[in-house]
Amino acid sequence: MFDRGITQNMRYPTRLRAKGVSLLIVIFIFSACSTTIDNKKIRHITTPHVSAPLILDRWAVAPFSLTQIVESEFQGKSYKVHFEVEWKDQKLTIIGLTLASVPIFIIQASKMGNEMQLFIPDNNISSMMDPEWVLSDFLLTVAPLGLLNSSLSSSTLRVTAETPLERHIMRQNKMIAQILYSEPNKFSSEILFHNFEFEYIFSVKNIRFQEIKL
Amino acid sequence: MRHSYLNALGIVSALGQGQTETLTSLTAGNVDGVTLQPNILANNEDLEFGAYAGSLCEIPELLLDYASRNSQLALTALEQIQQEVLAAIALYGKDKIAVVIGTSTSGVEEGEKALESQAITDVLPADYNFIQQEMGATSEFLARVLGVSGPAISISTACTSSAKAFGTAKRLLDQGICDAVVVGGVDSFCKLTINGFSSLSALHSGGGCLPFSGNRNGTVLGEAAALFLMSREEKGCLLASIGESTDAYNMTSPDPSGAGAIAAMKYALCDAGLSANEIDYVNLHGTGTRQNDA
Repeated sequence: MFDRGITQNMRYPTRLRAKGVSLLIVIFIFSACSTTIDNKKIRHITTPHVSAPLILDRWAVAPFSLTQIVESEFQGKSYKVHFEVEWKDQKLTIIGLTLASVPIFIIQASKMGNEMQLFIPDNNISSMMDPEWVLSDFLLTVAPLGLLNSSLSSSTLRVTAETPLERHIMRQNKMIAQILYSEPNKFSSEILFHNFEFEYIFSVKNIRFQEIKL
Repeated sequence: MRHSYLNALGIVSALGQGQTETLTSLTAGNVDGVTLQPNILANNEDLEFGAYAGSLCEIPELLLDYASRNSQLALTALEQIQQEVLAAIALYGKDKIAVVIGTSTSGVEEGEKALESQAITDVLPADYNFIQQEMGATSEFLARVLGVSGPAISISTACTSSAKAFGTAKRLLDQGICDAVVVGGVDSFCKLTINGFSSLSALHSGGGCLPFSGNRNGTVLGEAAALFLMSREEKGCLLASIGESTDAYNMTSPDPSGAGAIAAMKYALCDAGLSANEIDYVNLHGTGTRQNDA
C-alpha cells in the first residue's frame, strides 16, 4: 500500500507504461544477479490485485459511510492515517487524511474508472502511498469473495477463505497476502492485512459505519 | 480602502513550535502531543488533550503576577516574532502599538489549582494572584512585556474569540488608533472549559476528532497560542476584510440554516469587493461535532 515509487509513477502514467517493459527486463536481470529482490522495484510495475471498476459495477451493498484508522508498517517505518469512505450511487469515494485531518488524497471510483487527486505530494506519508493500491486493498478486505475472484487483475491470482475470519490471496498455489478479521462483519471488524510479496502490513480499525438513507 | 497585512506569525501548540514545525506535524499527521490526561472530567474520567511537550518561555520576574500557562504560551509565540514587533515599535512608537488577544481560558487553570490547594490547607498559595485568571490578563501581560501603551484588549467569546480579535485589530488600524497590532489567540488547559464541553456532549467518544466526517462525534481540545503582527505595511498575508455576525439562535448551538455564517461571509466578501467565485480556499471551524460541522 505504501510505496514512494508507485506514487511517483502515478503522476506520469503514460511515460511509465512505455517504460514498463524495459523496467521489467532490468528488474529481471537485477533479480537474477542478486539474492535480494527489491520489492519496491517489483511493485513499481505491478498492477493492483483487483480491478475496482469491475467490482463496483456489481457491488450490491447498501449506501454507507465508513471511518477507518489505518496503521501501516513498510520498510521499517510506520504510518497512521485516517480514511473517510463513502459508497453512494454505485460510486466509491475514499479520502485519505493525516491524523491532523489534512487531506492526502481523494479516490473516486466507479464502473467508469478511477479518479485520483493527490494533495501535499511532498509529504512523507503521501509520497509513500499509492491510491490505486489503497483502493485495491480496501476492496480486498470488504468486497464479497465471488466478486473479487471475477475481478482479479491476473489469471494467476485467486482469493480464498476457509473461515469468515480469514482471507488468502494466492498467486498460483502460493499465498502472497493474508487478511485476518476480528469478527465476521467486515465493516465493524478490526482487520490485519499482510502482503508477503511486497512486505508491507497494515491494520484497520473501523471507527464507525453507518448506512446512508437516500 | 486601506488594507491590513499580517506581517509575521509566532505559533505554539501540540503540533510543535514555529511555522515550520507546525506545518510539518500537520501534514505528517503527528499527533504525539495529544495524550490521555487522567481524572480530568467531573466524573473522574480520563480525557485526550493536546499540549505542547517542549519548554515554554519563563515569565519575567517583574511580571510574576501574570504567571500562568496561558501567559507562557503567549510569550513563547511572541518570542518568535519579537524582531518584527520591536521594529514596529521603533518605527511607530510605543503608544501606537496595540495588543488584541482572544482567549477563553486566560489563567483559570492557576485559579483552579489555587482553590484545590486552599481546600486542603485553608489558605490560597502565596504565588497566586487573581490577575492570573482575569480574562484581560493575557493582553495586559504582553503589552507590559513589550512596554507598549496602545490599547490592550482581550476578547472572550468562546470559539470566536481569536477570529473576533482580528476584527477588532483591523478596526483599530482602520480608525488610525494605532499603526500596528499584536493580535491572535491563546488558550490553555482548564478544567472549567473542558467540563463545559463535556456537559454539551461535544467531546469525542473514541476515534479522535473527525472534522466534517459523516461519522464525527466530538472534538479534541488542546492548548495553543498564535500571534501575528498586523499593520499597513505591505508584507506577508493580506487581510482584505472580516465579516462578523450574531445569530442569537442559541447559547451554544449555531443556527442550523447557517444564516449567521452566511451573513458573516457575505459581509466579508462585500467589504473586500470580491465575489464568491473568486475564493479558492475556505478554511472552516471544523470541530468534529455534530452541530458545528453542519
